[in-house]
Amino acid sequence: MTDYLVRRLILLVVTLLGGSALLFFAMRLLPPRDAIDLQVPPQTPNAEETKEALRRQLGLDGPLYRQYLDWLKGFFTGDWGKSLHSHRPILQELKDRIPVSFELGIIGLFFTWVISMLLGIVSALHQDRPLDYVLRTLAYALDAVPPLLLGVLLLTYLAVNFSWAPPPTFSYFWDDPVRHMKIMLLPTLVIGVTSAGNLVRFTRTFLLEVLRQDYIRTARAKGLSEGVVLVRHALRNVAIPFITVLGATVPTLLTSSVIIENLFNLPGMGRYTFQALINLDYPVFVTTTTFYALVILTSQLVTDLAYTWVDPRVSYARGTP
Amino acid sequence: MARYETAIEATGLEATPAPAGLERPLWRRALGGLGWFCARKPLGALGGALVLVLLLMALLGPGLEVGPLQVPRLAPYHYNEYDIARAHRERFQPPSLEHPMGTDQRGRDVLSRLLYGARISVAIGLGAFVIATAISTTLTLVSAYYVRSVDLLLQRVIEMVNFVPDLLVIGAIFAIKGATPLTLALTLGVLGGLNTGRVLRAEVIRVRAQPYVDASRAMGASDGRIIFRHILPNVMFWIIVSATNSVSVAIVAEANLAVLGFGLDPSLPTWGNMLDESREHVRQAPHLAIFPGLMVAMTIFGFRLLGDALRDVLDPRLHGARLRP
Repeated sequence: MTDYLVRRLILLVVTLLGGSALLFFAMRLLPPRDAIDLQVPPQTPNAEETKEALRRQLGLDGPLYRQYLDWLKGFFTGDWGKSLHSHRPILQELKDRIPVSFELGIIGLFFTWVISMLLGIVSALHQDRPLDYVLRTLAYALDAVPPLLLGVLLLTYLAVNFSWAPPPTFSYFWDDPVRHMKIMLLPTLVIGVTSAGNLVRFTRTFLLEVLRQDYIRTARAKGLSEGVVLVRHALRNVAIPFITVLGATVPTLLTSSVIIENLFNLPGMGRYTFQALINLDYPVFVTTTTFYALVILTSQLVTDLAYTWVDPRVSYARGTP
Repeated sequence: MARYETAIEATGLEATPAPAGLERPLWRRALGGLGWFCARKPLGALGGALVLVLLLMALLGPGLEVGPLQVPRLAPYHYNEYDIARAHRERFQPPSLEHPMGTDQRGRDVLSRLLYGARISVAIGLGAFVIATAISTTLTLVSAYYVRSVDLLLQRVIEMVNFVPDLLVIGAIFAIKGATPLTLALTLGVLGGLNTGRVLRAEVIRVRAQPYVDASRAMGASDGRIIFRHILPNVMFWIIVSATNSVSVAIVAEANLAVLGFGLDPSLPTWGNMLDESREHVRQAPHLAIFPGLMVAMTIFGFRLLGDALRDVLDPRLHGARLRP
């Protein structure tokens, strides 16, 4: 097992290196124009010379592999360079933005967890009764609504019926807590609600499976109350695979954060990355995406390891057939 | 086969007659199967009905011309039909008999635009599905079966491609190759192939650890035989379920890109473009957001219900459970 883990960690580094190189060269070679072309209007006198000077100044003139190695060295030594567009240091920009995305993800996941646990448990305890059908249909409906759609419809509804809209500009929690909550409430709720559908059904199915086990019958037989059986014996066993599934939603969460941050005007990582793509701002794009990839790859490694935990028959160790 | 039949004759026993159901013609059996599915999975049948409505909208909405066969369009208007002189009076009309879903900012009929948009979404979804299935099935079966050699390498390649969030990959390809429905279908197909590949891979790894695979290996079955006769049938349901997913994925991706300002040509009446345009007119005409939004939600809802019901019916692991009362 340790052997497998070490191998996977080495491979993770290989993937990061290969992926970032692929991305770097794709960003530099594929688009017909680069960031400098977008910044210098064509009618400027001496446009070509201005561009050349800018490229020299920003270190875009050497051979490409050299530039990649420079970027790589910077990435590992903590010198992440500057944006080609705003000329602000990337590290500083991320320091402001990561808390926003992190908060969005964590509170969103928390809402997901609460909603799916509550609805799933109620649904399982009313199996095949009207309430179960209502909740299962609701779970499907939640699943069917993409975050974008729920966001647009919520904003529409609030604007039309209550003439309410979230404050137009962002403020951090430490600057103005009330205003910050007003801004973050809708986006976190949207993320929480839209990721819950799948997990409601998962909780229900798994809880029903656990409730049929012999040890639950034993617990009931020895006279424990139904509440104790549920909380102490059943739910503990649901929690383990639930965490695995929750881990698998991390990449989806990152993608939806791009949408949600753009829709609700939040200064987070997703919007930063997307703006960088539009501006062909390659240092920002490659750096933030490598950061994303690190998060996704780690969550996948954890998920793969969790398979062996959930189903002991699955083995990655050497020597098994 | 013949050998066994002569062997049975040699025993002098009468051959068991075929089960009654098999004597009926194919269409009766198909109909019976459909009836069984509806009775057994009412939610799945509801999903199937929603999907059927969507497919009919996509097929007949903008009209059909295949050689001599001509079906007039179902949509009351062309998607871009408006009178510029009267546009200021006809725009933002709430739903009425003449325009069941109202009119948009130029006085165009929303229902007609939705019908045209259905065809674009379905075409992208089906195109993406064909590509995705071809890629995921071939890659995954080989990859997950040889877990310690091919898989190790292939998974790294897939991870490198998955390096960037899908939405940004599509955005980047749109920026380079132009935002056409064909580009979207191709990109979604390749990305979807790699993504469903991941789920399928987990499933193959699980099946590969089952005792019956060990058993057939012990009997000397070749790798090819194990993959095609023992593993593929057991993961086939995943491929069918992922098919029901691809149209939803296409619709969501299209809508997301449109709202990010990176969508398909704004003159096309896609649901995403309509949702995006509606955001400017939320207060005057909320119906512009509500109807495309409902269409998107109903479509995903339908495909999801159908897909889950199909999985319940087709997953071989659940077959034992079905026989129990």
